[in-house]
Amino acid sequence: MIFSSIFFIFAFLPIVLLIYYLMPFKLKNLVLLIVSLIFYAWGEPIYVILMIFSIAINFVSGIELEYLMENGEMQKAKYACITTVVINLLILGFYKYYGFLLENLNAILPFDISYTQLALPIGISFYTFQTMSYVIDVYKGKVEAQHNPVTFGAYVSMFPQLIAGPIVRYSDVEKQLQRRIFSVERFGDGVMWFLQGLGKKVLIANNMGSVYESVMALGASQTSVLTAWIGCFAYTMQIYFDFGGYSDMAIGLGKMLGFDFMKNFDYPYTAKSITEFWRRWHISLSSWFKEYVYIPLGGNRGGTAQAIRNLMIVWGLTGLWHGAAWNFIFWGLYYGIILIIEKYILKEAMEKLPSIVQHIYTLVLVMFGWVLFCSPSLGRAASYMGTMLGIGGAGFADATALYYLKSTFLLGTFAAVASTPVIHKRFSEWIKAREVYKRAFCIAMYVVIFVISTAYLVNATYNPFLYFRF
Amino acid sequence: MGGKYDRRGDETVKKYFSYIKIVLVVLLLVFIIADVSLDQSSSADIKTVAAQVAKAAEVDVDAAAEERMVKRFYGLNPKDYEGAVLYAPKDNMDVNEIFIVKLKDELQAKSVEEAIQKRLDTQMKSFEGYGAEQTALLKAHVLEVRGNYIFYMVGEKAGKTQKAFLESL
Amino acid sequence: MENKVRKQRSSKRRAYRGTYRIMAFSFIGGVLFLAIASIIKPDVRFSEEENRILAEMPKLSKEGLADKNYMTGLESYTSDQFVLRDFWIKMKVQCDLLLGKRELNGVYLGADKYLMQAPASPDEKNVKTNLDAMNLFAKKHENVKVNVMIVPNAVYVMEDYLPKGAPVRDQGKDMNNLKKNLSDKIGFIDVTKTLQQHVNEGLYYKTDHHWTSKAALYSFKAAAEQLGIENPITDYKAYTVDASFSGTLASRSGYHKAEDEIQVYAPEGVELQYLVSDSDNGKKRPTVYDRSKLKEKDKYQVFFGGNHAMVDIMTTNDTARKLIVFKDSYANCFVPYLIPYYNEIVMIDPRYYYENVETLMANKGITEALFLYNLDTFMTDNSIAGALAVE
Repeated sequence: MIFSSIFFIFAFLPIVLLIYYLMPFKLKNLVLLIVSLIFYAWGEPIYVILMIFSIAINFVSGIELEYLMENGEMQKAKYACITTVVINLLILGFYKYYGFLLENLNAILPFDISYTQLALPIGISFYTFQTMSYVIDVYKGKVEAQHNPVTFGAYVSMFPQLIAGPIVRYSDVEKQLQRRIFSVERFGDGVMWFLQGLGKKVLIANNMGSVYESVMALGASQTSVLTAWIGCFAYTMQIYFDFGGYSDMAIGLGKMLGFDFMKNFDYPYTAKSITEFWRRWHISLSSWFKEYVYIPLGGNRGGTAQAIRNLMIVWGLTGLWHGAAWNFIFWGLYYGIILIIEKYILKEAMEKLPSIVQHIYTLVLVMFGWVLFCSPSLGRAASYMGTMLGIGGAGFADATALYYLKSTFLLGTFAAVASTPVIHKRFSEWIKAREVYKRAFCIAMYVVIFVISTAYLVNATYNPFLYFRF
Repeated sequence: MGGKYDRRGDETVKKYFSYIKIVLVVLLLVFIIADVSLDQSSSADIKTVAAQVAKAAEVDVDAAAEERMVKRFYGLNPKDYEGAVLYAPKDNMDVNEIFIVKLKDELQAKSVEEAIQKRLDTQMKSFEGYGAEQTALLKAHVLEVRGNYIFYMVGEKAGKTQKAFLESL
Repeated sequence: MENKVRKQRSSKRRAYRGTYRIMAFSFIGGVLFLAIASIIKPDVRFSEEENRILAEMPKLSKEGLADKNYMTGLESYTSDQFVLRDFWIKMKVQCDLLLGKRELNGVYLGADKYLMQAPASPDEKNVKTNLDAMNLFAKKHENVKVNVMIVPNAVYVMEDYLPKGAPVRDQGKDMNNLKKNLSDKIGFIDVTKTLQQHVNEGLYYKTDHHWTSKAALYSFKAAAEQLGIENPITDYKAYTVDASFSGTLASRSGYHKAEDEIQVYAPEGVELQYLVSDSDNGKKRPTVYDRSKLKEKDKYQVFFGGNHAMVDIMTTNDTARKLIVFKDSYANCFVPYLIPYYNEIVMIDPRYYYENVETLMANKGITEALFLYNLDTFMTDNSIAGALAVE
């Protein structure tokens, strides 16, 4: 089930909210757990069992760790922690990377190992990372082990963030799981977040996505430089508004249920360097890798060589996290290399450049990154990048390019503006303004977004979620 | 609840959590192994399966189409498989169709599935915007791969027939 | 002073808390209103606008839950039976147009409200298999004159009507490829130029993917010589049989601003006697038209009552020529022009014809064959080779 569907908004959500608010506080976590399991089973009727196992093992492991540590058996606790993390990684690895691994092994080995490609359980990358962070945090003494399986289950399976993040850490919601504030205002705030996300997803991302797909369907001989850039721009917008929209909806739903999740995106396309870009893009993932991989590996404490090694490991893994395919790994390493160059070579030189140059530098690298990311194969990525640079395409611009320019100009411009804080800033001022007309305008805009999004959802022919694959 | 437990009362139980974890991991392994290697292949004879299916779908068992139709509809050669039974549409405005294949090797499943998908796409294309009833039936098709058996059906009774198919294995 | 500031601040705070409250209640109200209205509203079975059967409430079953058919069924049910469905669809199309989109669900909105279907990308392997089968067919039947007539689609013929620069498949290239790959035993009839000369005269329906009788008539006149028809009738009179045709492209795109006339052409001063029967309706009737179809949604079916596996036209014409036509629906408004020149015409739709073609040809004593397709269908067809193959 996806949030941007008629069924979710007009059937699932109202029923869930009704039950949730009718129940006394003590039972709210239980309601949350049950509806989240239903939500997950809706898309994965078999793999919901896998998730329940994952919840149970990590729950038990938390208490196990607490017991061992209370009794001073630190060595045993360490092993227990490691085994649990390894179990988590094995589950993830088996379901996500097994086919990829064997495919590549078969390519190298003189004989073939036969295997069946497993279906990827939705959201496994997200919830596995959450449970791992919990176990590690318990071991490190950052959080207390949760003793109530319902509370823990509700944390892991919580449906707003279950299948596409943000990767909520236990430490961030520990208190909210015990106590949270409900108010109509908070709910209204959640509604605004949700509608904002819905609009981003349905109105911008889906429409930009259809432009991108249309460009990708053209043959190389029909693609001019301009067309290639329009296609790449469309994807750049699609992926941000798709994923960012989903995160906004998750945050909004969280607020409706009384939770505060951390922001997952902070206007990434306004960054002035790739380093900054990754501080603003998918924040919950990059901070997870920083905390649980980069720093445990020694970070940059062991000198330059070690820091470079650690960065490459982190970014190779970040790439791999996005999918079991070589282009994702290369995409991760691409960023690893750029970040190293920025960190050790370009840093000071860059800061002296005019900020417009820094913006362009960042955006161009990010766009080339997306080509690597979205292409079905490395060869296709290379040829597409070639077209963008004027190699082997159909000239600089042709009638087709103008057609795309014309039919995406309005939405594209709006999307570009909306990817900066300009609109949001104005909105958050106006929503709190004293003048009635300003506040009325904001409310009217949300209503319009809701109505038009509904119109697009009723018609949905193209409504994928890109981050579902991860 | 939660953090404010009576710690001492817990201690005795908490000792066992290491073992509970091991038990859970073993159970998980059982689940994964079952999930991956569940042998669903059936030794049922395709004739008896077809008979059960035909009964549920209320078509004449003997009305199965000739082998060459399998080739025309799906581009598949029936001789490549243990057996294949096709109940073809009766005329051009009819989309009711049942196709049962018993595979020689489960590795064949993918190609057969693709062939069926292709056939479905062709049919959809023929009727889209033209035959609303047919399009609706095609959309409500059933395609079930169960071990060495593949079952595809377009028709009113697809759900009921699918059940009969599964039971006949 | 301080008091005033505090007062101001608190009134401001109260005001925006009010905004949040309005937001909360209007969202809940809106969702509940639409949800309840959708439940109360009786289920609609058929959507006239989309020409599509809407989803029904799925039945709960163990199998349905296990393979997720129940879940997807329920999701399509809520979306298909959503209140004011037609209103939402109109609004979506309107928004798309406002944003400058000129392609709606694979249909281009051209000048003069022309809807034009973007041709699908073909499966090259299928095309080759079909061409090979046709070449073999011509070789095998040395005594049968074989012609192929492939009609390009609106996007190509009426290119100027397309939104400028719209990316469509180059059908001219496809035509050349076909010409090149067909053996010289087959006569290739290309009516592109003829059609292009009359591009502003309504060669294709605005709301449907078919060509009009007018286009078919121009093509017939251009093709007559190659078909071996001497002195074809040139005097035809047009009759408008329907003025409110809204075809498949309107349904597909959701754009309903244009309507079409359906015209049929009858030769003047010529009395024809023939009987038509088809594989779905064995009754012989003296007309190629089925007026009852004008009451249905897809009015193009007025020609021969739609597609049939086989249509047989027997005439009293004093000639020995007997024609077999392998065809798609484009032929339905073209074949009527051929009737005066043949003793018998058999139309075969390879998609549905499962009998042995060789036997049929032998039984009928066929002397000529014509493959008549529109280019889009021909390039995506996967049934011609199967129908021609003899086992």
